[in-house]
Amino acid sequence: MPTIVSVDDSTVPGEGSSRLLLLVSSDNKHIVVEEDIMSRSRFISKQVEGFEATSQRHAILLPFSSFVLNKVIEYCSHYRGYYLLEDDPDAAPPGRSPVREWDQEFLDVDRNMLLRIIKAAHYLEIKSLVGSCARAIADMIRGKTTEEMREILGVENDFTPEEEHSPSSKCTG
Amino acid sequence: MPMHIFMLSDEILLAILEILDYKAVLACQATCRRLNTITYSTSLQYKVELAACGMLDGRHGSQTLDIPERLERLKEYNAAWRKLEWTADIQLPHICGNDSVTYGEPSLLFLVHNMDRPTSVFQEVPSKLRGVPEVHHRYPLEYGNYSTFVDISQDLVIYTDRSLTLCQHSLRALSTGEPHPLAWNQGILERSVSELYFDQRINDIFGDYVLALDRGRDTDLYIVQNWKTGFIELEKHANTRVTRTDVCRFLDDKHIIFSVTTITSLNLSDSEPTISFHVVPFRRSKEATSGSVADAVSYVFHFPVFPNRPVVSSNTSEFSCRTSPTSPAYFYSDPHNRIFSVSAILTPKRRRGTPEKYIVDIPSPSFTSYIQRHPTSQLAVVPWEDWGPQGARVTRGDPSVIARSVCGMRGAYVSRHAEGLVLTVLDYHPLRVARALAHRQDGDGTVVLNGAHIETGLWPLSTTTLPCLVAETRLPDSLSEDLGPVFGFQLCEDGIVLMKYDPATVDQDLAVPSITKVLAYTV
Repeated sequence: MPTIVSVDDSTVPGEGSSRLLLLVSSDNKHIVVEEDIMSRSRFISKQVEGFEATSQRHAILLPFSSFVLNKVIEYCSHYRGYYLLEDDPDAAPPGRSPVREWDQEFLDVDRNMLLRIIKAAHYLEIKSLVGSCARAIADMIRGKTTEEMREILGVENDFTPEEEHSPSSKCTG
Repeated sequence: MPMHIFMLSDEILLAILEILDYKAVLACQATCRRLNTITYSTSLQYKVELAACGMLDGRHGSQTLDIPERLERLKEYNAAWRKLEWTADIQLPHICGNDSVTYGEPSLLFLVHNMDRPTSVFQEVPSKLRGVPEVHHRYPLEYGNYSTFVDISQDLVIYTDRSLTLCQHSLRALSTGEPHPLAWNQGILERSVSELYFDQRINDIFGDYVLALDRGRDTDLYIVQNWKTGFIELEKHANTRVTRTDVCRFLDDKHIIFSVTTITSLNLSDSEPTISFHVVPFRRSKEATSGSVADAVSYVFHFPVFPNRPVVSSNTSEFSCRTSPTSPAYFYSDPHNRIFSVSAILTPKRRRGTPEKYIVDIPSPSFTSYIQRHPTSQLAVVPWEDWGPQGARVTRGDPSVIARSVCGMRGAYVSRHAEGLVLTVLDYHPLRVARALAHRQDGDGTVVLNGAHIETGLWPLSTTTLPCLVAETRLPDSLSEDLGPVFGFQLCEDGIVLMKYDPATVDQDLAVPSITKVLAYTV
């Protein structure tokens, strides 16, 4: 039997003028959230457009845990009603996404969580959050040597010794 | 289950890598196969190529060309500079006739005054690879114009005019001739001046800042002002009784640099270093919570060629160098990197022996790396070797060289030999040199000069460590006769410009020679 969880007080059903969505996480938690909070997500917006077309509303199943989903909802609630250039599908993509201080604090989590959030943000098509996560991950490895990067990212050196010394793997220096 | 970075899609990994600078991208490339493959995406390759060529992406002009195409052009551009493969000459007729160049920027632009009917003409030197069209603007001069300074990247031209008590800078948009829309006070910066100063002019522009130098009998005054807000960031006086400011420029967005020649000394036998560079910060750092700019550390670099040598006089020439243009092109040179080129004429004591001329080329990163390594040093006198990893290059003056020019990280000279005119281009960009060394192949014509010990007739000079790429080409035979013995030569972002002077006007010392023909060889 799924448990129903409401996100926080501001999204109690009936309080806002916005319609409500039912999101179901991979750990089978049901989360009720206002539609306009999640409108930042292109994925959700497209689902909602589908509801309008068929006049049928149903729960949206998401392939990540409620823990991650709540984090994404927290992000979307913070920027509710804000215009972020990266999330505007009609605007030209900015050359470089801006640094937002709140995001830096918000994403001050362990690597595992950061990777989960970026994956979820990518699935939900929230470009601003993908950008901020990517920046946070890039900050972890910036200025590090190859060896340090392997450690931080947890990857193995899978080159053959010949490949490692070929010029293509260390081209411009 | 712990999340692994490889559980992210290529698209996300690429988004992460795109935020990194090119050094981190290269380090990442060597971590593992998966990341290595992703770094070979075109957008990252373009980024790495830009950095390795010392260029920046010209966002505003690049809408029409996609990234793979731009990457191709960038590679072609770099190869063209290595081999000096330029197009046939392009004639630029708009600045010929009775006009005379009073100001030439080593870039894409010329300013011309017609003495009979005062006008200014701004001509961009076209480039096919960078997508710079042949554009020129012509505006009448409204008042007695004293000096002019241009920054194409910001569409900004500053006309300076002065009366006895007032110095007025008029900031115009280059493309329209109207007051610049972003400028403070409808485009007019006014400042009262004292009659003690005989010369006021803008010496450099860097982003929001303009650098003005007032030359006076007793003091020189350096002023850094924000042209968008009118706020004055720095006012610094320098005593000119014993020294003379030669050139003053922005080193980066936080420091100005000027060179000073000591013109008198009480005791001639101790005329020690006679040229020095001063680096002065003009903005309070974000971290500093108290104190003013005046309290910040300035740096003095003494010219180390001379200590304890029998020198009684010397001089520096113009740095002949300023911020590279960032005109609407697909890509452009990083304006932070430029060469400071100084020519020094050393006269032996009591005029025994013949004067010798030396050319000293110092890349700006040599200064900045020093400053970064020694953030707290006070007025340090630094030995030559400590000027950062790149040092400088000293060469002896060559009598066959008839024209020199510097642009960005490249220097060039034209020399006259029995077989005709030869153009030599020296490229000091550390990344371009490093890459040429790493990928040198037989027969590709790349010549890298390493720092060498130079023996002079009078004394041994410091050994230099700055390597550079050398490219040489013969100019067309017809040019040698066509241009005459005296001609104008300018190295540009995209090639060279040669100006033929009207011989009748060359000999008049005060007049600026009239130009009868302008030829550009560009990529």
